[in-house]
Amino acid sequence: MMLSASQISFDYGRVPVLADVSLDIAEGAVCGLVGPNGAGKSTLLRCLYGALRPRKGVVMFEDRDIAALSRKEIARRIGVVPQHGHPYFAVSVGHFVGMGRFAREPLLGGFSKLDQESVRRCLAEMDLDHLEQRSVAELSGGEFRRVLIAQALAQEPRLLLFDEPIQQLDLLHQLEVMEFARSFARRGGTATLVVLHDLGLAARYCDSLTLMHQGRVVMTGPPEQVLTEETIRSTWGVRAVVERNRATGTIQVTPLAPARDSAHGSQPNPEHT
Amino acid sequence: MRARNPVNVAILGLVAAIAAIALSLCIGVIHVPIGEVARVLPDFVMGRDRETSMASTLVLEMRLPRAVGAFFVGAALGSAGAMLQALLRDPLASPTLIGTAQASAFGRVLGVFLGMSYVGSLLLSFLTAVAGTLIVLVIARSRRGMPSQAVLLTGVNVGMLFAALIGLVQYMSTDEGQLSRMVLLLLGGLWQVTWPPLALIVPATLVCIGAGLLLSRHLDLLSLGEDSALRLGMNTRSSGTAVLLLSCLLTSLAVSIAGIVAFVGLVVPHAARRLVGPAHRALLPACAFLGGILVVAVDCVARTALPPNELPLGVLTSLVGVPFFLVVMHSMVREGATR
Amino acid sequence: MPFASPLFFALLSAAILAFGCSPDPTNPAANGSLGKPPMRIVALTVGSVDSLALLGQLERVIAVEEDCFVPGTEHLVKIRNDDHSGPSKALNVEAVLALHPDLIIAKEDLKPALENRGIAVLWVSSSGGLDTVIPLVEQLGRSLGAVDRARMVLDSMREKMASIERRVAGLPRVRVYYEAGKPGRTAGRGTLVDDMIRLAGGDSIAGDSPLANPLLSSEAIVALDPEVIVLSPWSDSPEEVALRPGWSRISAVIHGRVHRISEENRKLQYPSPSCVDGCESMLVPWIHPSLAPPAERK
Repeated sequence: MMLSASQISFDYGRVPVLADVSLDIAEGAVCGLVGPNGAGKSTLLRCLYGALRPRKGVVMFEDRDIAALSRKEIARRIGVVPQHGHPYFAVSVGHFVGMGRFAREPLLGGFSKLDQESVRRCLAEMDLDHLEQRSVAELSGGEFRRVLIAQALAQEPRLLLFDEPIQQLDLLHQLEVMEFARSFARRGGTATLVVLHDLGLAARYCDSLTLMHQGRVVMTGPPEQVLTEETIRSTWGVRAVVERNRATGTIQVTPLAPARDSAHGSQPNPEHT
Repeated sequence: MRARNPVNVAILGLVAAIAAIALSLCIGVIHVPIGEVARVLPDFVMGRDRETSMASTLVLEMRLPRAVGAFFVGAALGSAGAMLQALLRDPLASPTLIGTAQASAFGRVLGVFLGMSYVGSLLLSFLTAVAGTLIVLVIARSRRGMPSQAVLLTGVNVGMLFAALIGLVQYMSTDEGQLSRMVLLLLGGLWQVTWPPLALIVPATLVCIGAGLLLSRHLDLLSLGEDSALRLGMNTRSSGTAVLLLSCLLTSLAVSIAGIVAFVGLVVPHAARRLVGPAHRALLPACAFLGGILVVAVDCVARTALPPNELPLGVLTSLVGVPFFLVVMHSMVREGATR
Repeated sequence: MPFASPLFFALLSAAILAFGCSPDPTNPAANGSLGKPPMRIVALTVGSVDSLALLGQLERVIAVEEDCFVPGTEHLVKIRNDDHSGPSKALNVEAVLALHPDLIIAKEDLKPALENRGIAVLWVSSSGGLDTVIPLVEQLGRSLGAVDRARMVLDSMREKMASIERRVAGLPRVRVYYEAGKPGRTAGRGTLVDDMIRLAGGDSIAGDSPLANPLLSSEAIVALDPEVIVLSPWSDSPEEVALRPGWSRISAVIHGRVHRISEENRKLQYPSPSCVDGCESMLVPWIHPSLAPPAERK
C-alpha cells in the first residue's frame, strides 16, 4: 500500500468536517474521491499531503507517518495538482514549473543544470515547450492546468493528487488530463488520486472509488459497486439512471430528478467540495 | 521574460553603483571635476593623510560617507521591499506602506526618549518593526490567503498607529534637545552621515542581503502563496519568519540612517522585476543595486535642486513614488485583481 | 444635482472663508475695545509675559506656560502648551478656562482652540519678528491702561537699537550662521533672530531665502563659510558642531567663534523689547568682538 489514511478526523474550529475517514491507495492504482459538495473531499486531500493535521488518525506513506516527515520529504513523495494555483506575480511558465524543483534542491543551493533538465522534461511531457517563456497570466484554462501538472511532475513524486482537475476544461482537455492521470499511475512505483464531480469519468478512469458524504466514507470499492442508483439517491439526493456505456464499457450516471423523499439533508459545511 | 544570470546582474549592478556614487561625489553646491575626485580618493582608500583642499574636504569628508550611507539605505529598502512583496504576495507592499518603517521609527524615538545608546535604540527599533509587521500579517491573513486590500488597509492603519505612538512619546518628552533629535529622526534625510554608524550599518546590510540571497528560492515559493509553497515542500512558518525578520532588520537599518524614506521599497522591486525577471536569485541583488542607485540619485537632487537649501529626501521619493503607486494600483484594478 | 455643482461648492467655500476670516464676534479684544483693564490674564507666550513684566503689569498675570522662564513667574499657575516641534500642538484648554481669565494672550495658531469662547483674546503673530514687538507693547499698554509706561519702554528700546546701529555702522558685515535647533535649520528673513543678527551687523548666510525656516545643506554651509556660528540653546554643543564632517574648514570653527545661547539667557528667542538687550549682550560681542563695550547708561 502506497498511501494509507486511517480514521482521520478533522474539525475546522468546532465544526466537524471529517469523521473516521480511512482510505488506501495502492501502487499502480487510480483512486477516485467522489461525493457531493461539502462532503469533505478537499479537506481529506489536504490531510493526505500534510497541509492539514488531523485531530485523530494517521496518514502513512508506505511505512512512514507523514507527520514525522519534513515538508520537503513529503513533497518528494507526493505531488499535488491543486484546483487553483495562480501566482500573485506574473511569472514565466518555465520559472513557474521550475518551482516544483524546490523539493529536490539542496538546502541553500540554487537551480542547477540537473534541475533545468528536469524542468525541460516536464514541459515536454505536458506539451508545453513552446510556452516556456510565456507569462502564466496569458494562458488558457487548459494550458494552465497542464502547467500545474508539469510543476507537480518536477517534484518527481511517486503519488500524484489531483483536486478537481477538470473544472472549466473543455472535452479534449478533460480527456487528456484523465488519460495522463491513469498513465502516470501505471508507470511503476506510482499511483494517482483524483477528486472528481464527473461520475462518468470517475467510473471510466478510476480503479477504485471512495464515496464520501457529510465527512464520512460511505463506501469504497470498484465503480460499479459504489455508484448504484441506491447510493446516488441516498448520497446526492438525486434519482438517477446508472447504465453501462456501449462504447467505453464503463458505467455512466444520468441524473433524472431530485429525489422527493430526500433523506439527504446535508448540513452546511464550511468546506464546499 | 528571460531570467537573468545573477552573476551578470551583480557585475552590472556593481559597475552602475560605482558610477552613480562617483557622480554624486562630483555633484554638489560646489562642483568637483571627476579628475579631482579621482585624485583625492586614493588618500582615503590608502588611509593616507588627507590634503586640506576644499575638494578633499567635500569629497572625502562630506560626500563620500553621505553617498555610501545613501547607497546602503537604498539597498536595504529595495531588498526589504522585495522580501515584503514576496512574503505578503502583494505587489503594493513596501516598508512604509505596511507600517514597518513607522514602527521602526517609533522604536528609535522611544530609544531616544529612554536615553538608550545608538545600538540599543537600533535593536529596539528592530523589535518594534517586527511587532508592527506581525500585526499586519496576523490581521490580514485568512484561510483564503492575504488579499491585497486587507494588507494595505491594515498596513496603513498600523502606520498610523505608530505615528500616533511617536506623537505620544514626543508629547511626553519635555527635553527640547531630545525632541529636536526625535524630529530629526522622523523627517528623514541624510543631512549628516558620519562614518561610525556606517561601520555598523554597512556590514549588517550586506549580511542581511546575503541571507536573503540564500533564501531566494524560499522567496520564489512564498510569492506563489502559502498553500502552493506548502505543497511544493516549503516550511512556510520558518521561512516566513526568517523573511519577516530580515526585512524588518533591513528596514530598521535604513531608518536609523535616513529616517522614513517612502516608496523606495515599492518602486524598486517593480523596476527590477522588469529588468531581471521574478526569480529572486537575480531579483534580490538587482533590487539592492537599483535601490542604492536610486537613493544616491535622489539625494543628489535633494542637495542641489534649490541651493543652498536641502530638500527633504522623503518628500522627493514620495513625489516619484506616489504617481508610480497610483499607476500600479489602477492597472491592478483594471485587471480585476481583487484577490 | 444642485448640491454637487461646482458653483455650489464655490459659493460654500467662499461663505466658509468669509465666516472664518471675520473677527470673532465674541472677542472684545479683537475690536480693540476691552472696557476696563483686565485683572486676570493668562499669557501663553513668553514674549507677552516679558513685555508685561517690562510694563510692570506682571501682577495681573495669573497663569503662564509650563516652560515660561521669565523671572517673577515661578509662583504662577503653569499651563501645558506644547508649541514646540512635533505634531503635538497641545494646549490644555480646560485648565485655561477653569481659571476664569478676562484676557488670554496666545499665538494665532491656537485660534481653533480658543476663539468663540466668550473670552477676550489678544492674538500674537506666530512668526514673531521685530516688527511685531512694537504693536504688541502698544496694544498691551492700551489694554492695561499703561500707555505712558509702554511708550517709555518702547523709547528705551528704540534708543538701544539706535546705539547698536551707531556702533556697528562703519564695520564690515559679518557672515553669520544661526542654527535653530536642528542641524541645517536656520532662521529666515522676517524672523526675530534674523532681525537681531542684522541689527548687530551680521548677515545670515541663508541670504534672502523666502522660506521662514530654511534647511541648508551641510555642503552649502561649508561653502558659504560663516565667520560666526550662533547656536540655539537646544542645538548641539559647539564641540559637537566642530566635529561635523567637513566643518573644520569653516572660518567660525577655525577661529573658535562658535557660540551657543545659554538656556538662562534666552532673550533673543522671544518677541519682546528684551530681545534688543539680548542682541546687545550676546550678538554684538560675538559678531564684533573688537568693539568696546557700550558707554555706561544712566
